[in-house]
Amino acid sequence: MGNGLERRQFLKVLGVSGAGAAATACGGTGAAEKLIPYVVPHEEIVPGVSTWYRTTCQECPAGCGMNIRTREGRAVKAEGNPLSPISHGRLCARGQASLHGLYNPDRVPQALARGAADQSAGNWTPASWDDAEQRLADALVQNRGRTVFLTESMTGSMDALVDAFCAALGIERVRFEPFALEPIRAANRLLFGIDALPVHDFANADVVISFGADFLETWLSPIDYAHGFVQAHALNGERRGRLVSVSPHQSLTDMNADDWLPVRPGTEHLVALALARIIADSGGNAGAAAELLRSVNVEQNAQAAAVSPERLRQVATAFANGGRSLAAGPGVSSMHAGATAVAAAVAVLNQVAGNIGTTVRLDVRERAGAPAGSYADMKALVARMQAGQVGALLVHGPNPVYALPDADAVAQAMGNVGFVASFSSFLDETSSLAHLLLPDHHFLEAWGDAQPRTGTHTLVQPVMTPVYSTKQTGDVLLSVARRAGATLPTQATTFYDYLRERWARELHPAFGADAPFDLWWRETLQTGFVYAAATPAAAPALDAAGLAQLSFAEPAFQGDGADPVLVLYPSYRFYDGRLANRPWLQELPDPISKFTWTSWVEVGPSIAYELGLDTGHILEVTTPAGTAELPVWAHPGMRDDVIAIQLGQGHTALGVYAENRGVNGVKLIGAVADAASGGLVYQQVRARIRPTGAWRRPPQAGLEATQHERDIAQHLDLEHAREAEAARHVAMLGGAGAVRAAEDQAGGEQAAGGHGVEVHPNDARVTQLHGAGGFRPTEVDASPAAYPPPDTHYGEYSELQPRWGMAIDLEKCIGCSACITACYAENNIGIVGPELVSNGRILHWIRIERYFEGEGENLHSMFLPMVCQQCGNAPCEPVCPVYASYHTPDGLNAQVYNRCVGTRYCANNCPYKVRVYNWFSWEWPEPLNWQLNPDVTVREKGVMEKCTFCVQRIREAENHARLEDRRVTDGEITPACAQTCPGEAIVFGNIKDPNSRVARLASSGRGYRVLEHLNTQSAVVYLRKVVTTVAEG
Amino acid sequence: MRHRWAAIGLATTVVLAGAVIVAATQSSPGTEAIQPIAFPHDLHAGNSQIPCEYCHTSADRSPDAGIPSVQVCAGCHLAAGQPLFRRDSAGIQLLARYWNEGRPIPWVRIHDLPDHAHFPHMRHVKAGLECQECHGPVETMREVEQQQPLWMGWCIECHRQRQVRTDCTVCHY
Repeated sequence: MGNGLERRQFLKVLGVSGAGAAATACGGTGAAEKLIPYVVPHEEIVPGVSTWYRTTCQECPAGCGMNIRTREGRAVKAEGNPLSPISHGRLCARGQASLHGLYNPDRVPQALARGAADQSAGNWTPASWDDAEQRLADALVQNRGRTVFLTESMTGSMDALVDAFCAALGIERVRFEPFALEPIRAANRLLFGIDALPVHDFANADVVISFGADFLETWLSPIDYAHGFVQAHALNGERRGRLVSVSPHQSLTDMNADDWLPVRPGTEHLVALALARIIADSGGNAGAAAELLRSVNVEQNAQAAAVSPERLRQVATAFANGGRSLAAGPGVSSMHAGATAVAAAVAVLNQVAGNIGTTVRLDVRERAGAPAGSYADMKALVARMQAGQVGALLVHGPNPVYALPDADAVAQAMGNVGFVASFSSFLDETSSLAHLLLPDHHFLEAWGDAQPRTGTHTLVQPVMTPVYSTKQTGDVLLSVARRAGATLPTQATTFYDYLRERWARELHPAFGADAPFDLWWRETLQTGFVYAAATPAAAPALDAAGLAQLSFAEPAFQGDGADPVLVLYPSYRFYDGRLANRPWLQELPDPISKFTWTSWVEVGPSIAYELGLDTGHILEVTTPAGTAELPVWAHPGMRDDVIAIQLGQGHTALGVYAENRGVNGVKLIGAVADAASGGLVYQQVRARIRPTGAWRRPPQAGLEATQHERDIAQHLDLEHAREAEAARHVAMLGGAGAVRAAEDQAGGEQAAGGHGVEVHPNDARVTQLHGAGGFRPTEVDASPAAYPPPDTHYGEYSELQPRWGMAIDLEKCIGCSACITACYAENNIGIVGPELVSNGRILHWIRIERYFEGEGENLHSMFLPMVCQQCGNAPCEPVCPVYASYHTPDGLNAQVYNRCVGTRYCANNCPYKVRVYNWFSWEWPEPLNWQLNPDVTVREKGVMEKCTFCVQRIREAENHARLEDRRVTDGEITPACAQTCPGEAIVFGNIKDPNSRVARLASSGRGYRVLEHLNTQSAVVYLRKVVTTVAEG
Repeated sequence: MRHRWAAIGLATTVVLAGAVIVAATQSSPGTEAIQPIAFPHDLHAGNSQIPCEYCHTSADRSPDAGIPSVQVCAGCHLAAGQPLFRRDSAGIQLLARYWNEGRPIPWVRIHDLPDHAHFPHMRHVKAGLECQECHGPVETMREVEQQQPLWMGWCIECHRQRQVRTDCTVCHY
């Protein structure tokens, strides 16, 4: 023994003291909690029990019905209104993230004012509402005849009030939406004399052709369309719809197509006309378009579009004879200078296929109410402001300094307006230039209504008291009108009264005449809407004269002909950029590229290969309008003569979550309005691309674009899929190579044995593994319902308990990722931010695996929602040293947060990589923490977490059922992901109950389990996707 | 001595662990607190025989038993903001002040479980448990004191005796 401490002594001391230190690290805070009662309790609130309110989403103009869960007066979860004819009980990721709009820390908390002299400085001073309204009233009186009120495309009572307000005070009204789809309206005006955005009936369309219409993402009414599309498209007995996408660049919608025609940019209308010509030649009714179609040369158009005429004939045949059909387009991504021609050609195609008046209706409109003006109108307004012709500007909704090209000119023009007032909830690029801020309530705090579609009138009601000292704009307008001495045609002093007055006058007689108004009003608030299906009017006839006014030439693109065309396309997450300040949406991986928190530029794989570009290499993109640097992502679903940038990022204001992230694509195009429709020509320029040589690790969640032959996301061709649907499920053994039929559980009979689906290709590899000395699986009855698995030696399994399981139909998953945001909202999942996402530490409990297979025209994408498989034979359970991960009697793989010490061995062992670790404790800056679900523990640093099948919902339903002296029924428990999925892809229930929906789906012949050869005995059964084409019957 | 450092380390651990065991429980039997109003359960639940659920109304429908609103107290004690009886009582005077000023009474919590334990009151009420089983003879208490340890082990013991679920995720999620 030498001087001082020897190694062994040191280790002993270290071990013992270390244990002591660990012991002292835990322990309670010791501070006593307070119990704060109500003074006067709310009639509707039982503490600890949720109260639900119906309202309408206003995050985009689609107007989906919502059901908001509140706890003790705080909104905690957004869900769809199950009765709504628009949302069908579901919400997209934007609707789910509406709570991050409500509780956003960057909201303007009260009225703010500043003098004109301080406009360049940020000298906002808080103003009382009294003061702010008086200032506004004074300015309106002063600027009578020179005032403009710029709004979004409003419908319903607010629209009526603003009209009345403007009429009474001599104000000009301008409506602007960046995604107003002007070409569609212009084409319908010319061809049918009807200025309308048609309602499309996807649920009844067997064959759909999309010409750049992203109807699963942002186009018109995405939830209704996605729900209907999946209904018609997913395999259902014999029926299986088809989607053909005609586009140089694949958006998420195009990635769901069965056939992709990668046409040259600017040639969509040539394809539509060629298809129409083929259909007209075989008997389709062209009406007044007959002469135009006679001039169409199918071969020439095919060549111009770079598709083969044979393919066009295949598509045309399917469209005409494959059942009911629907052609949709254009969308924002195909708004080039010929977009109106595209819209007209699509209308002609629908005409010859007999769709006008059936699947495409012009008698009912999306955005019923005065439609938005065009971009050209907005441009004209900017010119007038620049010329000093506008004395006062009021802004509610649009953010033109962000959304318009040549933003500097717009900002300068606004600087020439003497008085600018904004009702925006945030300091965005436009409201930052205002003199007076009168922040509106968030829609979850407000009264209102909307008419998202002809015949549907939805109500907006407050689900909680306002978070800040904001004031509803309707109330402000009523007050300001009084102050300015104007008389409005109403007795109401508050917008609530105005709303009720209007409903009593205009809607009560039509929808509720048999009940007194107050009773009918309360009932309607509980339902959320009133709805009357319009009796289909006679199909309008095509007007040849209107058609003759359009040019069907190919549009030109500004720039060098050798450079690729720049495609700008809408963002599923941020819409037109208005939602970029919702942290959930920034953290949500883009469904196409899986990028978070930044922008990227998409190039075709050959270009990437030629230029030596990997994901993350910084590319310089230069157009005649500007230049930008963005990380690259090689998108297999693109032509080589286009590059693409998603809209919605690149904010310079709008709060910390949105600012200085990525690039605003609109900065790369010029202020060019389409002559025929007045719409902004989004697809306008060619871009010079130059690798800068720099590379930065991209914040991409999901690095793999291929499955590496692991058969994770599996598919069948149509013939085998139909056979499989007809057959009962065959239990697949853990790698033994053969299949045997399972007993028919309902009847106890032996189902037809021996044959079923093809031998699983994995079995050959597992046989190889045996030969190399790999593990030998034992033959077990491997069906999920045979539970607990035989020979299991741990856990408190009971035959009486259910086994919770899921069936996920890959035919129905469109890859939209709404489930991910719903899971974040339900389970208090931390937002990690871009640096941690780059390090692979994103906290997904559910993720969408997105795989590409094939290439070029044969490219198809697979989407697979991956959740914790709640394995019966879980690799993560035996390795937890503290029994924090174990199997519950009801079939869940439990994660007990308070036991977890963070060895992370479980995540290491998980073959599905569904376990995520809290490397840090997360912050929810006030008031984002108001959203936290009180039923789910908030995890600290050092704790592992994963999908729990929403165990809190399972327990809640069990408790509820127990109070009612009954068992839980099938369908009573719906996890957050399943609840919001627009395609109804996820079904949850007791997989041991043969009568449950999940068991019936899981026993489908299309069913399989991911990585089944690992013998994990997972409780999630996936149903194979069908890969087919229009050519297949 | 030979293992001097190890002995010192062990002793430290024992001392610290002891402190932890005492500190780790957020509340323990005998916990008292100074309440904003000295509300006497023995007079209300005892003498007046007011049922527990008259005030703690959500115990049979919610995971939270609920704490009575000021309105519940005012319903018996005050009329037009003035005490109806026992005007000399300091507690009732205080109550009148809270009610008239529209302020909630900030009670100090006696029975508390950590946030990661989701305890459902309504299941236990439905199972026929008397409130006194866990909360003690509250109707005899001038000041409420925690009687039972509320440790997880204590909960598990009762669950085992009655043969109900002891699965972790029944309470921890």
